[in-house]
Amino acid sequence: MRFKLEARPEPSRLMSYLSPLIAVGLTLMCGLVFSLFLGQNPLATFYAFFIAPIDDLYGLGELGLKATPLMLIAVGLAIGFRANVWNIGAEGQLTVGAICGSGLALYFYESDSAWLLPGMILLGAIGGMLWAAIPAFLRTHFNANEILVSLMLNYVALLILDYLVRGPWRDPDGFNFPESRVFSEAGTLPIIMEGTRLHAGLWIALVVVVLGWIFVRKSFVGYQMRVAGLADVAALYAGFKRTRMVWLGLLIGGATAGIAGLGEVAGPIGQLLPTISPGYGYAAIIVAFVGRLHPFGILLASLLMSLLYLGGEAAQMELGLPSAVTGVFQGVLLFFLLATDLFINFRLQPVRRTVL
Amino acid sequence: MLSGEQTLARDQAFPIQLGGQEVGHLDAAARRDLGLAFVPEERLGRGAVPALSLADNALLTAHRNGMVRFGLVQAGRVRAFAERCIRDFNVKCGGTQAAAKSLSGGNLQKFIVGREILQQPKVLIAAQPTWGVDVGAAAQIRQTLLDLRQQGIAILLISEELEELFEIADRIAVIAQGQLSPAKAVSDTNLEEIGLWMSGLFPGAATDSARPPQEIPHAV
Repeated sequence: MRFKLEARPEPSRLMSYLSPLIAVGLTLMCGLVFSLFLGQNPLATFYAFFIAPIDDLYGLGELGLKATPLMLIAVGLAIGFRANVWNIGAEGQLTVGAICGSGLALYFYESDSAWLLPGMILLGAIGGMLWAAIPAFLRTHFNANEILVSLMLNYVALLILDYLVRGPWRDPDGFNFPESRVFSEAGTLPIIMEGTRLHAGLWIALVVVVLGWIFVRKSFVGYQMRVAGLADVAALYAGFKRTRMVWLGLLIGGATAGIAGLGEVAGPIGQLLPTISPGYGYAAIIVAFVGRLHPFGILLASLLMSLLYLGGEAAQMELGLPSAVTGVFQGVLLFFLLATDLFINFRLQPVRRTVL
Repeated sequence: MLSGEQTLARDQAFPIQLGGQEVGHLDAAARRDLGLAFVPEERLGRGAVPALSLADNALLTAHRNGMVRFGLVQAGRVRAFAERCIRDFNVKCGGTQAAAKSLSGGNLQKFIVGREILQQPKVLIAAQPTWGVDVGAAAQIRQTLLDLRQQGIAILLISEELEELFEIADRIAVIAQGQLSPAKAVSDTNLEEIGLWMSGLFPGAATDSARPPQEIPHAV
């Protein structure tokens, strides 16, 4: 029997919720095939990948630790995505946020003031917003494509970080390693669960999830951005300003990415290093879409993506799989999600053979 | 252009004024703040967002009427306003939470007309308000426009249906080949004269051959 794709009269609500689950299922099956090809026992691989990393308290802490930046960034990005503002530069905004917040910590490296950490978080958000303001300005004034500009700026941000930790901000007592000073106690996010690395950044992220939900569902600006994303011309008719949507979409994403970056350097890392993120800014794009651009969906999706990071690390250690396995799983997940999302608007219809 | 979706330079030869105030350079939001309302030609996608509910579509232009407080949408007020549009204009629909695209063209048009009129505008621009609408709904929309006129609200009706214009307009003018004709009282003119005007033959029309390309004639 043959099938053809047929447009649904209405986008399927059910399918839009099922699609991420099906995509996860297909990704798991794909992983099964991979492990067979690599000559591994599939069950052992699964256990090592998805169960072993979180079967103790420390593992659960790591799950929350890695989910924190992902949900922070994804909630911010999703607000822009809803208004058709495509910020792909969260990785760079995360980096600049981390740099700006760290600047304060390094300048007051002997301080024990309670104001240091809030100041760092604020500067982290401002740094991310500054970096996002560049594509926003170029888009609103010269109609430059924000996808390209924000993406390219990621590399610029990483090079600035590289320069700082190897040059002016290198630890003077650090034997020439490319690292900054270790932040003081007052410049480090407190641990919220004994025996883990889970830090107070999680509370910030959860607050941002709730604020994000209020913004999207209840605020008039969130409504305007939704209209701009759904029907550009209707937004123009109502007098909603497109440039304002672009600025807001990028700045909100930049702010949350900047806070996420600060949370990394003031959390598990505790200093500036040449590499401060294993691609959270990119993975958060996948998280945003797997979470259906909804703050609470993103909360769940960030836990899933966090597990993929942990599983990838565990698979390297336990099974000797290459480190690329995390990236492969992220890519496969996005691939299957985009594929299954097709069935939100289309369905398969069997083609009846016509009798001549 | 008159609705403000495209703004104009300040120093136009024929400035656009609203109640004596220069509005040519203002955008749609600023003009609406001054009491302009607009029923656009396209219903789905311009006058209403297809995927959103009627309540959300009421908010689209009616948000000035106390529907937003501290930046938050007052859902109760929005729903009450949408219900008034539905009740006063006999919109057949599945309630305020029905998606705009689930309505028939005529019912959605009645909803949009209702939304614009119930905001008590000073000036209403209506482009093809009865286009594609069933006879009953069209008559109701025309009657509403006449009622508004009685209340002293200025209405600019843009239509390609001459009968409709002769039925409800006070004065009529034609845009043909990029030029605006003088306005004439409906009682002083007739279909034949307006027909001539629509082909560009009106007093004061430029007659040189270097005219802009032919445009669809619009009676105003």
